[in-house]
Amino acid sequence: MNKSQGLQFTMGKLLNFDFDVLKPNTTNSTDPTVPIIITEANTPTILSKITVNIADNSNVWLYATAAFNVRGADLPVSVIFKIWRGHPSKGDLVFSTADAGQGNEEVGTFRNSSFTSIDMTCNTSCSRITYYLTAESTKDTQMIFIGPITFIGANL
Amino acid sequence: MSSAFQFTFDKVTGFEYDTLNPNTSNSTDPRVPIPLDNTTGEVTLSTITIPVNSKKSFIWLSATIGFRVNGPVASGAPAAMTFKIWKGSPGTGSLVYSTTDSGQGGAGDPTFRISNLNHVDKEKKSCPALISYSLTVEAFDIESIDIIGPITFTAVEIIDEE
Repeated sequence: MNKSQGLQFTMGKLLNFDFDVLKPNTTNSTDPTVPIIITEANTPTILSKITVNIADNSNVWLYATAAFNVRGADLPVSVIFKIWRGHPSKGDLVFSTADAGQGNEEVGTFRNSSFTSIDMTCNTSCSRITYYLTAESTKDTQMIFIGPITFIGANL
Repeated sequence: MSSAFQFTFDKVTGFEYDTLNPNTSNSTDPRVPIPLDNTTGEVTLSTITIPVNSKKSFIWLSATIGFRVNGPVASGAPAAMTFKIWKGSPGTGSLVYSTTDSGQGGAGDPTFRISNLNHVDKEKKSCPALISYSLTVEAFDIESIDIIGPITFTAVEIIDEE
Protein backbone atom coordinates (compact mmCIF):
# COMPACT_ATOMS: atom_id res chain seq x y z
CA MET A 1 0.00 0.00 0.00
CA ASN A 2 1.35 3.37 -0.88
CA LYS A 3 1.85 5.84 1.98
CA SER A 4 -0.42 8.82 1.41
CA GLN A 5 1.26 12.18 1.06
CA GLY A 6 -2.07 13.94 1.50
CA LEU A 7 -2.49 17.58 0.66
CA GLN A 8 -0.36 20.30 2.19
CA PHE A 9 -1.28 23.97 2.21
CA THR A 10 1.19 26.64 3.27
CA MET A 11 -0.07 30.21 3.54
CA GLY A 12 2.38 33.03 4.11
CA LYS A 13 6.14 33.10 4.53
CA LEU A 14 6.79 33.13 8.28
CA LEU A 15 6.50 29.50 9.35
CA ASN A 16 8.23 29.39 12.74
CA PHE A 17 9.61 31.99 15.13
CA ASP A 18 11.74 31.77 18.24
CA PHE A 19 13.52 34.39 20.32
CA ASP A 20 15.41 35.06 23.53
CA VAL A 21 15.50 38.39 25.35
CA LEU A 22 16.64 39.56 28.77
CA LYS A 23 14.02 40.40 31.35
CA PRO A 24 13.96 43.36 31.48
CA ASN A 25 15.61 43.83 28.10
CA THR A 26 17.19 47.15 29.01
CA THR A 27 20.51 48.87 29.37
CA ASN A 28 22.05 47.79 32.72
CA SER A 29 19.41 45.06 32.94
CA THR A 30 18.77 43.33 36.29
CA ASP A 31 18.44 39.98 34.49
CA PRO A 32 20.90 37.55 36.18
CA THR A 33 22.37 36.72 32.77
CA VAL A 34 24.18 40.06 32.80
CA PRO A 35 26.63 41.61 33.32
CA ILE A 36 28.83 39.33 31.26
CA ILE A 37 32.49 40.36 31.46
CA ILE A 38 34.87 39.13 28.79
CA THR A 39 38.53 39.66 28.00
CA GLU A 40 40.84 38.01 25.52
CA ALA A 41 41.44 35.26 28.10
CA ASN A 42 37.90 33.99 27.60
CA THR A 43 36.89 31.50 24.94
CA PRO A 44 33.74 32.37 23.00
CA THR A 45 31.20 33.28 25.67
CA ILE A 46 27.59 32.33 25.09
CA LEU A 47 25.27 35.34 25.21
CA SER A 48 22.07 33.63 24.10
CA LYS A 49 20.63 30.57 22.40
CA ILE A 50 17.38 29.82 20.55
CA THR A 51 15.85 26.68 19.07
CA VAL A 52 13.94 27.13 15.84
CA ASN A 53 11.53 24.63 14.27
CA ILE A 54 12.48 24.08 10.64
CA ALA A 55 10.02 23.43 7.82
CA ASP A 56 11.05 21.61 4.64
CA ASN A 57 12.85 23.71 2.02
CA SER A 58 13.11 26.79 4.20
CA ASN A 59 15.71 29.19 5.60
CA VAL A 60 16.26 30.89 8.95
CA TRP A 61 16.55 34.67 9.25
CA LEU A 62 18.72 35.39 12.28
CA TYR A 63 18.73 38.74 14.04
CA ALA A 64 20.69 39.82 17.12
CA THR A 65 21.27 42.91 19.22
CA ALA A 66 23.76 43.07 22.10
CA ALA A 67 24.95 46.13 24.01
CA PHE A 68 28.22 46.50 25.88
CA ASN A 69 30.45 48.98 27.66
CA VAL A 70 34.22 49.36 27.27
CA ARG A 71 36.34 51.22 29.82
CA GLY A 72 39.92 52.33 29.90
CA ALA A 73 41.39 51.64 26.50
CA ASP A 74 43.83 53.85 24.62
CA LEU A 75 43.21 51.82 21.48
CA PRO A 76 39.89 50.38 20.34
CA VAL A 77 38.84 47.07 21.87
CA SER A 78 37.21 44.72 19.43
CA VAL A 79 34.53 42.14 20.07
CA ILE A 80 33.89 39.31 17.66
CA PHE A 81 30.30 38.11 17.55
CA LYS A 82 29.54 34.66 16.19
CA ILE A 83 26.38 32.71 15.47
CA TRP A 84 26.73 28.94 15.58
CA ARG A 85 24.43 26.21 14.35
CA GLY A 86 24.83 23.83 17.26
CA HIS A 87 27.01 24.27 20.33
CA PRO A 88 30.13 26.45 19.78
CA SER A 89 32.41 23.57 20.79
CA LYS A 90 31.31 21.36 17.90
CA GLY A 91 28.74 23.23 15.79
CA ASP A 92 28.98 25.04 12.49
CA LEU A 93 29.87 28.71 12.30
CA VAL A 94 27.17 30.43 10.24
CA PHE A 95 27.99 34.11 10.81
CA SER A 96 30.54 36.38 12.44
CA THR A 97 31.20 40.09 12.65
CA ALA A 98 33.37 42.47 14.66
CA ASP A 99 32.59 45.73 16.42
CA ALA A 100 34.74 47.93 18.63
CA GLY A 101 34.61 50.49 21.42
CA GLN A 102 37.11 52.89 22.90
CA GLY A 103 36.31 54.46 26.23
CA ASN A 104 38.06 56.09 29.11
CA GLU A 105 38.19 55.06 32.77
CA GLU A 106 35.44 57.37 33.95
CA VAL A 107 32.67 56.96 31.42
CA GLY A 108 33.52 54.26 28.96
CA THR A 109 31.99 53.72 25.57
CA PHE A 110 28.49 52.35 25.26
CA ARG A 111 28.03 50.37 22.09
CA ASN A 112 24.82 48.88 20.71
CA SER A 113 25.60 46.21 18.11
CA SER A 114 23.00 44.71 15.78
CA PHE A 115 23.43 42.28 12.94
CA THR A 116 21.44 39.93 10.76
CA SER A 117 22.08 36.92 8.55
CA ILE A 118 20.33 34.11 6.73
CA ASP A 119 21.14 30.47 7.43
CA MET A 120 20.24 28.45 4.37
CA THR A 121 19.02 25.23 5.89
CA CYS A 122 17.42 23.73 2.78
CA ASN A 123 19.85 20.83 2.74
CA THR A 124 19.63 19.95 6.41
CA SER A 125 17.54 17.05 7.62
CA CYS A 126 16.85 18.58 11.05
CA SER A 127 13.38 19.57 12.15
CA ARG A 128 14.79 21.77 14.95
CA ILE A 129 18.05 23.73 15.05
CA THR A 130 19.61 25.37 18.11
CA TYR A 131 21.58 28.53 17.38
CA TYR A 132 24.10 30.05 19.79
CA LEU A 133 25.20 33.70 19.91
CA THR A 134 28.72 34.15 21.30
CA ALA A 135 31.16 36.99 21.90
CA GLU A 136 34.93 37.07 22.31
CA SER A 137 37.44 39.87 22.80
CA THR A 138 40.78 40.62 21.24
CA LYS A 139 42.24 42.68 24.08
CA ASP A 140 42.75 42.26 27.79
CA THR A 141 40.63 45.34 28.50
CA GLN A 142 37.30 44.37 30.03
CA MET A 143 34.25 44.43 27.83
CA ILE A 144 31.04 44.30 29.83
CA PHE A 145 27.75 43.17 28.28
CA ILE A 146 25.09 45.07 30.20
CA GLY A 147 21.98 44.49 28.13
CA PRO A 148 19.92 44.49 26.14
CA ILE A 149 20.48 41.13 24.45
CA THR A 150 18.00 40.07 21.77
CA PHE A 151 18.36 36.96 19.62
CA ILE A 152 15.70 36.08 17.05
CA GLY A 153 15.25 33.25 14.56
CA ALA A 154 12.51 33.40 11.94
CA ASN A 155 11.93 30.34 9.73
CA LEU A 156 10.89 31.50 6.28
CA MET B 1 0.80 7.41 8.09
CA SER B 2 0.59 11.08 7.35
CA SER B 3 -2.71 12.88 7.73
CA ALA B 4 -4.67 13.62 4.60
CA PHE B 5 -4.54 17.38 4.98
CA GLN B 6 -1.96 19.68 6.50
CA PHE B 7 -2.47 23.42 6.81
CA THR B 8 0.38 25.77 7.71
CA PHE B 9 -0.67 29.38 8.22
CA ASP B 10 1.46 32.46 8.27
CA LYS B 11 2.33 33.57 11.78
CA VAL B 12 2.31 37.27 10.90
CA THR B 13 -1.05 38.83 11.68
CA GLY B 14 -0.20 42.52 11.87
CA PHE B 15 2.41 45.03 10.74
CA GLU B 16 2.80 48.76 11.42
CA TYR B 17 5.66 51.12 10.71
CA ASP B 18 6.80 54.71 10.74
CA THR B 19 9.64 56.23 8.73
CA LEU B 20 10.88 59.67 7.83
CA ASN B 21 10.10 61.02 4.35
CA PRO B 22 12.67 60.76 2.81
CA ASN B 23 14.15 58.19 5.17
CA THR B 24 17.74 59.18 4.57
CA SER B 25 20.81 60.50 6.30
CA ASN B 26 20.36 64.26 6.75
CA SER B 27 16.70 63.86 5.82
CA THR B 28 14.68 66.92 4.85
CA ASP B 29 11.70 65.61 6.82
CA PRO B 30 10.69 68.43 9.21
CA ARG B 31 10.90 66.00 12.16
CA VAL B 32 14.71 66.19 11.96
CA PRO B 33 17.29 67.32 12.86
CA ILE B 34 16.64 66.85 16.58
CA PRO B 35 19.39 68.48 18.63
CA LEU B 36 20.19 66.82 21.96
CA ASP B 37 22.31 67.52 25.01
CA ASN B 38 21.89 66.80 28.68
CA THR B 39 19.35 69.59 29.11
CA THR B 40 16.99 68.39 26.37
CA GLY B 41 15.37 65.57 28.31
CA GLU B 42 13.59 62.61 26.75
CA VAL B 43 12.41 63.23 23.18
CA THR B 44 9.93 61.09 21.26
CA LEU B 45 11.28 60.05 17.86
CA SER B 46 8.39 57.93 16.64
CA THR B 47 5.09 56.38 17.73
CA ILE B 48 3.26 53.48 16.12
CA THR B 49 -0.06 51.86 17.04
CA ILE B 50 -0.71 48.24 16.18
CA PRO B 51 -4.03 46.40 16.44
CA VAL B 52 -3.45 43.18 18.38
CA ASN B 53 -5.55 40.28 17.20
CA SER B 54 -4.56 37.50 19.57
CA LYS B 55 -3.69 37.11 23.26
CA LYS B 56 -1.22 34.42 22.20
CA SER B 57 1.05 36.62 20.16
CA PHE B 58 4.35 38.45 20.34
CA ILE B 59 5.15 41.91 19.08
CA TRP B 60 8.50 42.08 17.29
CA LEU B 61 9.79 45.64 17.56
CA SER B 62 12.62 46.99 15.44
CA ALA B 63 14.11 50.44 14.98
CA THR B 64 16.95 52.18 13.17
CA ILE B 65 18.17 55.68 14.09
CA GLY B 66 20.93 57.70 12.45
CA PHE B 67 22.72 60.38 14.46
CA ARG B 68 25.72 62.72 14.41
CA VAL B 69 27.95 63.37 17.42
CA ASN B 70 29.55 66.82 17.32
CA GLY B 71 32.00 66.29 20.18
CA PRO B 72 34.03 65.65 22.24
CA VAL B 73 37.53 65.43 20.83
CA ALA B 74 39.21 62.05 20.98
CA SER B 75 40.76 62.66 24.38
CA GLY B 76 37.38 63.31 26.01
CA ALA B 77 34.73 60.89 27.24
CA PRO B 78 32.32 59.66 24.54
CA ALA B 79 28.92 61.34 24.27
CA ALA B 80 26.19 58.82 25.04
CA MET B 81 22.44 58.55 24.70
CA THR B 82 19.81 56.04 25.77
CA PHE B 83 17.08 54.86 23.40
CA LYS B 84 13.88 53.56 24.95
CA ILE B 85 10.74 51.82 23.70
CA TRP B 86 7.63 52.45 25.81
CA LYS B 87 4.34 50.62 25.65
CA GLY B 88 1.96 53.52 26.16
CA SER B 89 3.06 57.06 26.83
CA PRO B 90 6.73 57.78 27.51
CA GLY B 91 7.36 58.15 31.23
CA THR B 92 3.98 56.80 32.33
CA GLY B 93 3.66 53.64 30.21
CA SER B 94 5.65 50.42 30.53
CA LEU B 95 9.31 50.49 29.60
CA VAL B 96 9.78 47.43 27.39
CA TYR B 97 13.28 48.05 26.03
CA SER B 98 16.26 50.36 26.32
CA THR B 99 19.81 50.48 25.08
CA THR B 100 22.71 52.92 25.27
CA ASP B 101 24.97 53.93 22.43
CA SER B 102 27.64 56.59 22.04
CA GLY B 103 29.96 58.38 19.69
CA GLN B 104 33.05 60.50 19.88
CA GLY B 105 33.75 63.20 17.32
CA GLY B 106 34.93 66.76 16.98
CA ALA B 107 32.85 69.85 16.20
CA GLY B 108 34.52 70.20 12.83
CA ASP B 109 34.89 66.49 12.28
CA PRO B 110 31.78 64.82 13.70
CA THR B 111 31.12 61.13 14.03
CA PHE B 112 28.18 59.69 12.11
CA ARG B 113 26.67 56.56 13.61
CA ILE B 114 23.60 54.39 13.31
CA SER B 115 21.85 52.33 15.97
CA ASN B 116 19.61 49.34 15.36
CA LEU B 117 17.22 48.21 18.10
CA ASN B 118 15.46 44.86 18.35
CA HIS B 119 13.13 43.40 20.91
CA VAL B 120 10.21 41.00 21.24
CA ASP B 121 7.44 42.12 23.60
CA LYS B 122 5.76 39.03 25.03
CA GLU B 123 3.86 40.57 27.94
CA LYS B 124 0.22 39.59 28.32
CA LYS B 125 -2.36 41.90 26.84
CA SER B 126 -6.08 42.26 26.55
CA CYS B 127 -7.51 41.50 23.16
CA PRO B 128 -8.61 42.88 20.78
CA ALA B 129 -6.62 45.99 21.56
CA LEU B 130 -4.73 48.86 20.06
CA ILE B 131 -1.24 49.08 21.51
CA SER B 132 0.93 52.16 21.02
CA TYR B 133 4.70 51.95 21.20
CA SER B 134 6.86 55.06 21.43
CA LEU B 135 10.55 55.29 20.58
CA THR B 136 12.43 57.94 22.58
CA VAL B 137 15.98 59.15 23.04
CA GLU B 138 17.71 61.01 25.87
CA ALA B 139 21.28 62.28 25.88
CA PHE B 140 23.13 62.51 29.16
CA ASP B 141 26.28 64.37 28.21
CA ILE B 142 26.80 68.07 27.59
CA GLU B 143 28.13 67.32 24.12
CA SER B 144 25.92 68.09 21.15
CA ILE B 145 24.21 65.20 19.34
CA ASP B 146 21.86 65.56 16.38
CA ILE B 147 19.36 62.93 15.29
CA ILE B 148 19.55 63.43 11.52
CA GLY B 149 17.78 60.41 10.07
CA PRO B 150 17.01 57.86 9.02
CA ILE B 151 14.40 56.86 11.59
CA THR B 152 12.58 53.58 11.09
CA PHE B 153 10.25 52.02 13.66
CA THR B 154 8.35 48.79 12.97
CA ALA B 155 6.06 46.44 14.88
CA VAL B 156 5.03 42.96 13.75
CA GLU B 157 2.43 40.80 15.49
CA ILE B 158 3.43 37.13 15.41
CA ILE B 159 1.12 34.34 16.58
CA ASP B 160 2.62 32.13 19.30
CA GLU B 161 1.15 28.81 18.18
CA GLU B 162 2.61 25.71 16.60
